[in-house]
Amino acid sequence: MSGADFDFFSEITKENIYELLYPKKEVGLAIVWLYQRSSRGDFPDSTFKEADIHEALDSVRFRPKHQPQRNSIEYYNKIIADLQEYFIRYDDEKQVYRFKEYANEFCTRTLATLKANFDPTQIEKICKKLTKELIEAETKEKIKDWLSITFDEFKPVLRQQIDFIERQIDNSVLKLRQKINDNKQAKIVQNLKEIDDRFDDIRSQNKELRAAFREFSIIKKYLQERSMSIDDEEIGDLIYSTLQFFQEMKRLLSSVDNQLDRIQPKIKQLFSNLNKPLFNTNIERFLRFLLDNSQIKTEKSKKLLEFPFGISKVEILRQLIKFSIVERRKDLFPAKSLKKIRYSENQASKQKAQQNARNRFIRQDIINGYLNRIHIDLKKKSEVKFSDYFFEALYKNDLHLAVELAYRVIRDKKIYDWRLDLSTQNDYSKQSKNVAIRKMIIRRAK
Amino acid sequence: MNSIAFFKHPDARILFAKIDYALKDGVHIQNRPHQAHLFRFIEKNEESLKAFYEEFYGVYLTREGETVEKYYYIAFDHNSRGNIPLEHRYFFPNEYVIVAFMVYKIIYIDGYVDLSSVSKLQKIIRHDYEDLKPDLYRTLAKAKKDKTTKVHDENIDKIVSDALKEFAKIGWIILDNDTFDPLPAFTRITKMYSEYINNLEDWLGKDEIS
Repeated sequence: MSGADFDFFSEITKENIYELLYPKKEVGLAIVWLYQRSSRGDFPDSTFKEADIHEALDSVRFRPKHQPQRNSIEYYNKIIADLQEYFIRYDDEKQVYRFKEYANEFCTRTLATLKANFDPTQIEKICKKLTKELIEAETKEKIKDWLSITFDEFKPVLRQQIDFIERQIDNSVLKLRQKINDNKQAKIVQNLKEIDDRFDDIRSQNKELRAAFREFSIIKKYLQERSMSIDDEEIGDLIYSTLQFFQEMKRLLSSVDNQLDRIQPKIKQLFSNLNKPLFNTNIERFLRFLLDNSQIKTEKSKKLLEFPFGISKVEILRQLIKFSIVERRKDLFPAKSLKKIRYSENQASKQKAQQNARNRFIRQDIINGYLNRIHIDLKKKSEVKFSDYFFEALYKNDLHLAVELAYRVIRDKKIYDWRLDLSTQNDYSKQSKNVAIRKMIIRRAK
Repeated sequence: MNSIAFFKHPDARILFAKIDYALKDGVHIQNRPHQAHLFRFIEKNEESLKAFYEEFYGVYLTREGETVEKYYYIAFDHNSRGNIPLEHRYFFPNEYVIVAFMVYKIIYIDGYVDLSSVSKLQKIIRHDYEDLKPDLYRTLAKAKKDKTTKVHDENIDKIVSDALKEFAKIGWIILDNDTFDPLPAFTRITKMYSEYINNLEDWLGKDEIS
């Protein structure tokens, strides 16, 4: 079953599951009592009898006071029955009990947390083993196992080590404060020196732990390389969460360092103060004096604190001068932009303009048509009269076109290879005697 | 002339202006990463710089603290004020002096060596000193004795955080949002008042001190 389908919370709230997993104090202690004896080798084959359980319960003084002695057997039986769910297994052949895995976990976890043995070499060994196993895991399945089983088991071991260091810091700080408060002790300086040494130890432990973690960078690099070649979403997610875990450990380690960096200089100062106890006392008395005797004075509706007469204020040099920089800032004074006029397109005008342009082309074509006709006509005849074409253009088209035609004949005569003979006489239009142009004969140049 | 010998130091072009501005802004310079380059320059040119400030400004480049706790700052003469015009002198509000002494007491006398959170400091000042509480509220929050309200709590918190900002400006502490760390120069608060502190009895007469 994958973790996503399992609702831990709703599962543990079912019936009396919680009570069975976390028995009440006396029962829990009895389990620990048995565990300790078992690990000392008091029980052969790591098995124990019902009488041992009774002894354990007796020794943690579990006996309901309101119940008479003879009834306690029933209570014990009930407890033993409950414990069989998760903690112990009954072997009815031999009539002995042994721990279930949950009981082992229950005790070893607690033991490791409390004992808090600092063992970076152990971490280093585990790390090396982890690396080796990872490199040997060649198939996809094996990598998956490494990520989800092998490495997962190792996580709490690592966390415990860091927890241990953090707890040591907290304890040492607390102890330090207690010693200071209890400063009637003659040995205070020596005691504090011991605590300071303790911080040095913690720092070097942290350093060792960090060194042990070096193996991580190998694992990290290897995982990153592998993740490139494995196309499997689940493995990808597992690799990602493993890398996240490394990040988290790294952060924790450096936060321990930071904490120590903060604490130690203060302890040094504390020491130098302890060597002059009178000075410290006087500082406190002086502060007391200031607090008792300073007065609040109201000046222009502002409340000011005034020290007792004779005590000077703290005076500090402070430059008011700031360089005056005269600067024309581009964001405040941008170059003035020219007003852009946008013309909106008027479709009617646009069409009109296009029509005009088209008309002009058409007129050019008409003119070209006349010029071509003259050219062709000149191949048949040696000369033509321009006025014939002019009047034709004038009446078929308009005066404007006819004048343009005249202009083109004169302008393009070289292109067509014509010779123009103008005379002072006029040619009159046949349609109207009032319209005339000068007589012009067009000939081929050669 | 000795007072300008430091000009010849190869780093003077890059560092002197920075140092000069810092010192004249009341900053204390110590051998900590953020000021280390300035500190080293002063240390190397100490004599010449001292002469310079004394000769031209009539103020004193002063060194205090030993070894790693060493720090430099500009001090006025007790009697004269040198060539520094009045408007360039700044007086700490007295509330800040009280905050400084409280911080000093909490960390270096009462041993809260793991304290580095501003909000935690504010809480300690407000809650942890029952015997000082009424006067702390009176002097810092301007509260009438035995009548404190949420507004007064806020006033205290504000004075504490304003004071820390000022301390950060003059290089007494490093302040980064909610985190603060005292620097060697922070102990100067006790040195400033050492005349009084060391001679409390003489100064007030034995009867007046509780």
